[in-house]
Amino acid sequence: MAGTAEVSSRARFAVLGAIGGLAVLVAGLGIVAATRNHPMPASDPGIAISISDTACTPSTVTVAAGSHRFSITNTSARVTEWEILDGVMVLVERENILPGTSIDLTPTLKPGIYQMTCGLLANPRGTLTVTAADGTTTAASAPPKLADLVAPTGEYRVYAIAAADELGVATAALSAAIAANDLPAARLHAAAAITAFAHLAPVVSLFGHDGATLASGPAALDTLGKSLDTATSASGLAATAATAAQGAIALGSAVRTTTAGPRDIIAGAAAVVANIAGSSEIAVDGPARIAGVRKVIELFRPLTLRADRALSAKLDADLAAVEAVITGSPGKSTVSAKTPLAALGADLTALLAALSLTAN
Amino acid sequence: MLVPFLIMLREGVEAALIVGIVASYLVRTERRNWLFAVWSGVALAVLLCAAIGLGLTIINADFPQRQQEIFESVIGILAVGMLTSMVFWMKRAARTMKAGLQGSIDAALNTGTNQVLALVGLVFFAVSREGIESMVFLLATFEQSTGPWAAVGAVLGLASAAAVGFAIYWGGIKLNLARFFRWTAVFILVVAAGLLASSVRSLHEAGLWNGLQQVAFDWSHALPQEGILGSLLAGVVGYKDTPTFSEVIVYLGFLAVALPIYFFGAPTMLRPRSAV
Repeated sequence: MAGTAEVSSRARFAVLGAIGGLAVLVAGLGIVAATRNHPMPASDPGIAISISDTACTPSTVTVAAGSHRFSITNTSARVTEWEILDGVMVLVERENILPGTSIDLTPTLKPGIYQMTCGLLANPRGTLTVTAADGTTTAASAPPKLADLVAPTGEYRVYAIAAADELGVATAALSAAIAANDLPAARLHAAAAITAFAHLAPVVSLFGHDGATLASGPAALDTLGKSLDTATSASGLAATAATAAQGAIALGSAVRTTTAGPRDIIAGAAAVVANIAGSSEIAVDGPARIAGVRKVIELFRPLTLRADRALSAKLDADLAAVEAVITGSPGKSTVSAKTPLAALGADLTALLAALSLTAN
Repeated sequence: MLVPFLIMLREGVEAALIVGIVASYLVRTERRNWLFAVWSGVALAVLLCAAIGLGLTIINADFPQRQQEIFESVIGILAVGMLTSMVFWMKRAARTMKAGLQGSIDAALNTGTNQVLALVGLVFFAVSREGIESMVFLLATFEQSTGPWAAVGAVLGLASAAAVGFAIYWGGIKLNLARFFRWTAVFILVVAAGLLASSVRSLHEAGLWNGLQQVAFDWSHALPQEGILGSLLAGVVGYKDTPTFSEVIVYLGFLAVALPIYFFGAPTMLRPRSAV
């Protein structure tokens, strides 16, 4: 016990002295805090926001750029936190707001459009608009920096890998069901494979041969699905299904090794839209392909909002219009969808320009 | 009363765990005389946090959340490093003991005083990490509550957290030494994984890390982290009811690397010793 590892008694006295000194300081501060006048209501009433179990009230707030006092009251039954988000980035945050209590915070905000979290994850987020000093415009629009593109590109990669995995599982199951001559199961797995593959549509052309096997030719999922719909026996389809399963495996590894860039992703989404508009009837995977396009628009939305707010609103509106026509209409003519599809395609092309992705 | 109780329990357990682990480790490795330094580290951290919290309240300043998050993540990552190396120190000590060299643990852990000082530093920072924010929370609770129950709940929560820390300390001391080394190691690695994931979250909340922020799963209804079980799990193993992909990946990735190395060892670490 002796020797180097021993705490010397002099060190002990020094430490005890420091503890004692701090204790006196804390006691003093405690007395000051307890006897001071309770914080008087500030002259600036600030922005009061209350968070209930389901939403923020108000859920849309507009302020001028600069410093503002926010007073957040938790009227829900659960402890909550409140955040101002710029895309996925946290600008301002307070945790542990007890039910029935409120906290004040005074962030300094730059012009732009932000989101406010409102309690539980499932609750709709509020919108915080911060206007520029001239009061007329919102954020000075700025093309994103390279670093800003990293997050949506990375998140898209995760999405693409997940879709490729679903595709792999579904085609393997499809192949097994056909080998067992189980037609109902085969139809189900074929539908799942078609949906997963359609989600990948914006980037599938990047993977050349690996994607082509499933997109066209004898092992195309589309053709396979149609054959299954009319077939009375799965016996003739085993080789085709096996090829499709192999193609899905190859595509899965290609998706992992190749990272689609932001330009590839958005241009690919525009190509998907043009492709749907170009065919005479809405294919069975039309809704799923539009779902893949929606993912792209959602991932880039924070950047779009900053670069061109009007374009972002138009993208959302045109996407909703396309979805309204396409959903539930496979097999029908594309005539009624032509106009919204053209508008959405134009928006996506404009997005490339707004994000400065048209060069090279 | 229950809500502030659970909040302080969660925040307190996170710090108490590290204190309990370090204290029992020091006793098990025959360094009981350093316990004084551990308790001093705790006392200094608590008092310093109290002073900062009171100061912020008195001058009516905004709580510096961003700086706090950066502080939390840096200390969290340091703590993960310390806890992980502690686990491997213990493994080495256990091996020496098996060879019948009782009492030579100190020789096996030949890193000496610096290692102990680092552990005492870890205790100080681990308590500060939770302390400042807890202090501000406590003061707001005292000031705004209509009755005394919220404050009573918060204080009881802190006391329970301290009890958990003591339980880990006593458990660590009472366990059979070989078992102590084996099972506390697994426990410490799980705690470290939770710390690492929460450090990643703090980096995000500080605005510094923004990748992979989609929510991996939402269990806020099935097992809310503000509930009793959720709070305990949050404090001990870093449970989150709506974790992001980056948190889940870091958590599982850490365990996937650390546990196999612990149990099966990197061969180069084992062989030269047994050959001696």
